[in-house]
Amino acid sequence: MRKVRRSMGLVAIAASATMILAACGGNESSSEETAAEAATEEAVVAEETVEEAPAEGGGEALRVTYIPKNLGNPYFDAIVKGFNEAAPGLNMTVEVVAPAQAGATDQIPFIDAAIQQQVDAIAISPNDLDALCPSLKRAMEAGITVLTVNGDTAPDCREASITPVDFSQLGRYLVDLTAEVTGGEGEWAFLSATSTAPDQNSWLEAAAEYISSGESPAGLTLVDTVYGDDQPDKSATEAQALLTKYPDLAAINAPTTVGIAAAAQVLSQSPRKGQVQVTGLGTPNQMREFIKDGTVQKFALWDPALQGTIAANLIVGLQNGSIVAGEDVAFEVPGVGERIMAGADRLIIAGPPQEFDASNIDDFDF
Amino acid sequence: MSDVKGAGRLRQIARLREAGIAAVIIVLIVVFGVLNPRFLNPDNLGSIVLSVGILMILAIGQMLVIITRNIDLSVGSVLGLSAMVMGMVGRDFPQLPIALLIVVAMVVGGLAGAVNGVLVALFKIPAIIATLGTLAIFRGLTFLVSNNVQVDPEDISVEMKNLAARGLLGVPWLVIFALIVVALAWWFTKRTMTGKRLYAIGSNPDAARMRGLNVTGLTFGVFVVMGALAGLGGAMYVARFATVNPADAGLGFELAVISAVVIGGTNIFGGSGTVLGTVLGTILVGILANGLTVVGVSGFWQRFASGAIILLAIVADSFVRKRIETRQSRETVVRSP
Amino acid sequence: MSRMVMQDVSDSVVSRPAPWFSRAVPYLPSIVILIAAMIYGTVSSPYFLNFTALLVNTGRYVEIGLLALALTVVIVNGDIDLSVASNLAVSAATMGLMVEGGVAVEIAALAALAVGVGLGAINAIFIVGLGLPSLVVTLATLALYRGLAQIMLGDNAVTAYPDEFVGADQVSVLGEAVRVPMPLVMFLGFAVLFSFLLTRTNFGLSCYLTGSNQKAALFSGIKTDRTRATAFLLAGLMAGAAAVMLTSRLGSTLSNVGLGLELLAITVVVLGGTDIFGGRGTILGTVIALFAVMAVRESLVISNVNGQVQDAVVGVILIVAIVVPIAVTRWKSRAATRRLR
Repeated sequence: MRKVRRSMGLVAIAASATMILAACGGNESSSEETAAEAATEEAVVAEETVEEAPAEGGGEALRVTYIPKNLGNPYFDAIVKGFNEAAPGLNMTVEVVAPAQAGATDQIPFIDAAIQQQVDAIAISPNDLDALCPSLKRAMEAGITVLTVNGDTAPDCREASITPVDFSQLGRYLVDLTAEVTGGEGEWAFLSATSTAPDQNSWLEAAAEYISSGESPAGLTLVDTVYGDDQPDKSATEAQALLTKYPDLAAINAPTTVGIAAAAQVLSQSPRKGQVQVTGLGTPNQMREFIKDGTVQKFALWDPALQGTIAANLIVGLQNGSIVAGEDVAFEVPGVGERIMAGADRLIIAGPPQEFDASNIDDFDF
Repeated sequence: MSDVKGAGRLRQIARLREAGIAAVIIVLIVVFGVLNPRFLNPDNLGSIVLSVGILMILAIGQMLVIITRNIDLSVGSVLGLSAMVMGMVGRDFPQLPIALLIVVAMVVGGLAGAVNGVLVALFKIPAIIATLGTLAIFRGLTFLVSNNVQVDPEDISVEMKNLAARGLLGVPWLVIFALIVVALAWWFTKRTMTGKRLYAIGSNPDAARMRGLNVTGLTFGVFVVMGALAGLGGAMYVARFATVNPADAGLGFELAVISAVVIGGTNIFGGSGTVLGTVLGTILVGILANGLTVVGVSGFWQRFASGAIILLAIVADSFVRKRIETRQSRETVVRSP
Repeated sequence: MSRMVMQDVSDSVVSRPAPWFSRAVPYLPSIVILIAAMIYGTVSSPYFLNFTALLVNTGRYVEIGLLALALTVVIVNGDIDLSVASNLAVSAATMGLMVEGGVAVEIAALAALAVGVGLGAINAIFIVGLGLPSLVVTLATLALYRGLAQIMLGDNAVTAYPDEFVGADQVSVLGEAVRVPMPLVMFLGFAVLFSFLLTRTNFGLSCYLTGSNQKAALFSGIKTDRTRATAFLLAGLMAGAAAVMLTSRLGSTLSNVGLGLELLAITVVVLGGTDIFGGRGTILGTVIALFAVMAVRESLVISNVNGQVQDAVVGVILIVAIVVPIAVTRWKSRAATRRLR
């Protein structure tokens, strides 16, 4: 119902040029309120901000800033959800802010601002392996707990890193998933995110190793790897080009949520729907209709919210001293179970991959 | 008298120019087809046609804007905003007919265009600056209205998606819309007084004003039309990609659109430009993007190639122009005694 | 002879004595915005008014500032250069590849400057040499140079920079007491240089005359071609300098470095009162506008406003800063005509 009302107002609002000024005035008007209120008032952040924690008697609430790669991405919204669900019970407030683009340097101002705000912890899904390091190190020097979530930087720029699944196994997993949907036979191709995306690149590398090791399903041939830059139109163009280039293509594997949706959309309109399989990593809400119309048999992801839950609990532990970051330190996450900061790099694996098909897709909403 | 001669010369340049682009397009098709015969698959050509269709709707609008010696950098953001509003309305009122949704998108786009029009025509802000500002503003608005939530494929009706898949005699509606826009623009620029006035404004705004043309009104109108076309493009974007993401929808389209128009021979300083040239320019840009990918040119080279081709187009243009000018001045010298 | 002409024109165009307040008018929009943003930041976040942090954060805006200085000259000439940020990427990539290949970082930095000037020269050849419009040429080289950076670096990030080179933005010139970051000082140094260039040299005078009326300038003996070409070389040089600064700040180089900075730099120049059609503009205006844009961005980011909304606010400010003076002038002249009647 709320949705409906908003979009009704929208036509009128978007319609009026005064909206531009209103957007500006909206920001200005909050300046009359107290600073603390203003911080939670900002129009855009509002919905993703946890209200002041109820447990105000039990000492000051922990202030946490989470910086996703960018906004408007349902995947990161799910991580935010994990934070938000855990926060009230942990006496914690979470601010979510993100840059306009997912460029290497675009998150830096937000890190610097969090340092200036003297927050207790920064959780970040970094856009770049190296460029954020100087800023994150400065945050740690200022006594701020720094965690990377769903993506990583160099290990000395954060205390621990939470990764959604065992990435070292994911390359292998993607090949096996392709084998499963194709019956283990035929040509297939990767449709990846940007050519510089560190996660995807590590999976592609691992997949290549798995294939060259000779252990992978012998009937499969990886014929190409293309990049859709995580843009729907570029991804669609690349997916179409794959269909064109390889008349015998059996599957497109897109280990990125934008890519898999674009590839499924192209295939759903193509005469080769049914002959070619699309699989990879996607969110259930994006893929539901392609599962239902038979374009896609099966795809996978993980529960992104779990990373938020673990991060929130870990921050509390690191802050009150009950957890000390270190090699192979185990800790308990209430309601989730034990997790381990594995190796010298202190990498925490959130959980196993989650597969989606016609039998279970309606059980998920993200 | 000299006006007629000038117009003749411009027409000559335009025709040479169009023949040149057509030749390049044919060469590209042959080269891509030889390098990878699958480039010529009906399936792949169909995909090119769909991409070109969306681009063309925007490019026609941009051509009209550039003819009046202006430019609209905000087209990608306007496309994103109208696609988002249309997607949200369609999601929340699934019973609405898609024709109405398309109207919603065009109205939103038209209003955004009107904002540009007011800034440029009324306040006389240079178009490049005004639309640089609104490029950011409309993108920000897209985020505000959507509250950072994207419209998912399941929220977009099948009829809407079919616009990119079905149509008359196997031609998708998306392409038919683009052809209608092209036909209307051809009629408008060739057959109406108002159309011809746009060229007059672009060639010399002061002279046009002195001749009593309503420069302010026409400029405003052109921006509104551009916005409405970007809105239509937004509707087609929704049909084709079946997702509207506040950050991605239409991002960076302005570059492709302006490239297409400039390659098509429209003078960036206004006063000249043809619908046929723009159509050819758009096809060239579309074929290039698809073809480079299909023959397996690394993504790293693609941006480089598109920059090089724009440069090549304007350099070739200026050489042709100069040669015609020298030939004509020689002719005048011969005839003068 | 030509110098005499120039002197004449200079008297009428540039150094006409004016009261200080009317000379301050072009700076008013940025000054008002600067103050408004400072007030907004102070009221909306208790953490905003932190002098040390604000000073240190200027380091992040210096690259935009360097590009804006050179763009001021280009725009005063009546041209535009959209390719500066892509040029920056190629310069940075050159430097990165050389450092990775074992070249000393000082030499690699000089090479970055040279590459910057070289790419600026390519722009100049097309624009001045072949007489093509700068808007289209640099739109093309915007894509071309960015593509070149991608071809050079591919997916790779260069991180092989020596420690003593990384983090110049954290180095304080006056020690720990007052943290004045080195890049800020360098920027202000460049600003003084550019200001001198525009106001005290024949080159500067030629710029204003070329931008006001290129044909008239040509007839009065000014080498407009040389003036315009020099401006593009300067833009290239500053792109190279910004590349070195940015690389030092980040400690790494990627092919998408500096993406979109050209739009911010142009916003700064225009906000600073430079006429986009040429002939008018000052370095002081650009410098004030840079700090105004910085104050806006910093006050928004510290109040947890998201990136897109920040961009939109800067867009609104750009437009309002241009519209308000126009509206005021028009309102005044209308009132004046009414009074005459």
